[in-house]
Amino acid sequence: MLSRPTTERRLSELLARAQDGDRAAYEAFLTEAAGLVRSFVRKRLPPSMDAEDVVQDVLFAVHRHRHSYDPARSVAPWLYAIARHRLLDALKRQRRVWRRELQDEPGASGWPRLEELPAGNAPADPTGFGLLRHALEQLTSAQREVIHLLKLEGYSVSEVAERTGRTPSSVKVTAHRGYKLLRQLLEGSSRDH
Amino acid sequence: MTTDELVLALAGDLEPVRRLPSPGRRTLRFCAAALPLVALFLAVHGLRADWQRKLGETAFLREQAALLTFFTLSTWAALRSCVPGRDNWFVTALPAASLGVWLAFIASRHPGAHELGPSGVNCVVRMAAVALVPFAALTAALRRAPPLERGRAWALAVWSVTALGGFATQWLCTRDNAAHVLVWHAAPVVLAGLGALGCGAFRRRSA
Repeated sequence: MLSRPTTERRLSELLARAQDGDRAAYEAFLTEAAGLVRSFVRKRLPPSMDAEDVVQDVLFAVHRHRHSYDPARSVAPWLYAIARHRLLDALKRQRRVWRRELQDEPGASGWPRLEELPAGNAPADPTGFGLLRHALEQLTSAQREVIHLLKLEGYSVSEVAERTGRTPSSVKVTAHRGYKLLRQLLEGSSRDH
Repeated sequence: MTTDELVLALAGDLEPVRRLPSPGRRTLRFCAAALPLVALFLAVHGLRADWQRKLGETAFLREQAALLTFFTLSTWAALRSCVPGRDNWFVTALPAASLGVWLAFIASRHPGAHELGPSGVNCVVRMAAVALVPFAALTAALRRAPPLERGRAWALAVWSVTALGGFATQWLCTRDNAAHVLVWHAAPVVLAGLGALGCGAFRRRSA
């Protein structure tokens, strides 16, 4: 948190100069504010959420509200009020995503889990689940794990990243390659039949 | 985009801004513009026949003073809610308390004045007519610095302008019994504010 009076005075002066159009002062203010907001957000955000997204959201809000700052007043309550509101909005958004994902849970949608799929490419397989299992077995273990967690277990990209120790981008790339291979395998199987 | 890139982009886009005056000063300006408008409305529609007698009636003046206080505090609170860091529970509590005082003044009128009487739809229409222009002005003022808590800010703005409408209506409507004033003058004010609060909460949930 912003506690030292000198830091606060400097930030206040920088923002006041930014209100008058001083770009260098604004850049210095935003850089320092980003650090303060980052530590504020990280303490309050679950590890599965990306703090940097919220920090950037706060910086946008600071930019939009910069004319509402009164240089005669302390900058900390102004900055942290914006940060708190943006953080709450981010948490609400995330909660909605989780709720939606829970509603799409395999059990709720009627989709079976991977281990429940019929084994092999059984000829008497009217559902096609056997084909799917056969295709899934052709994927790399990383692709299979990521697709299983995303599509069958219903986890979000950030949760899968956390569980598998990957970055969200790596999860997306792995899943994308897996989907591509699955599509090729399933299209090939349907042509064979 | 990384945060460092965003900082550079925002700093690159920087334009000088006109600082927002303090909520107190903005409230004074709004009241200074809204009250003459109400006076004009009253002049056009004609004051109630017994207005001179009403000027000597303490209970009536007390209610009007409470209503004007409610109007001023709601305006101040709505404008203050636009300033991050200055929007706390105290800001909303003050207008709510002044609304409570106004309602208590009406409810404490002498016994026997509790018959509802004929419909007061005209009073509601008059209140809405008075509130229309100030509401547009206050909306524009609120949009200059979008409030962080939109639902509460709009509820306070709606309270402010309907209180003004209520004030004007009291000088037009001759039906002074407590039941009529509570149902046709006060209830629309309370309900409009609660409605705005509900709409704000709904929009926030569905955003």
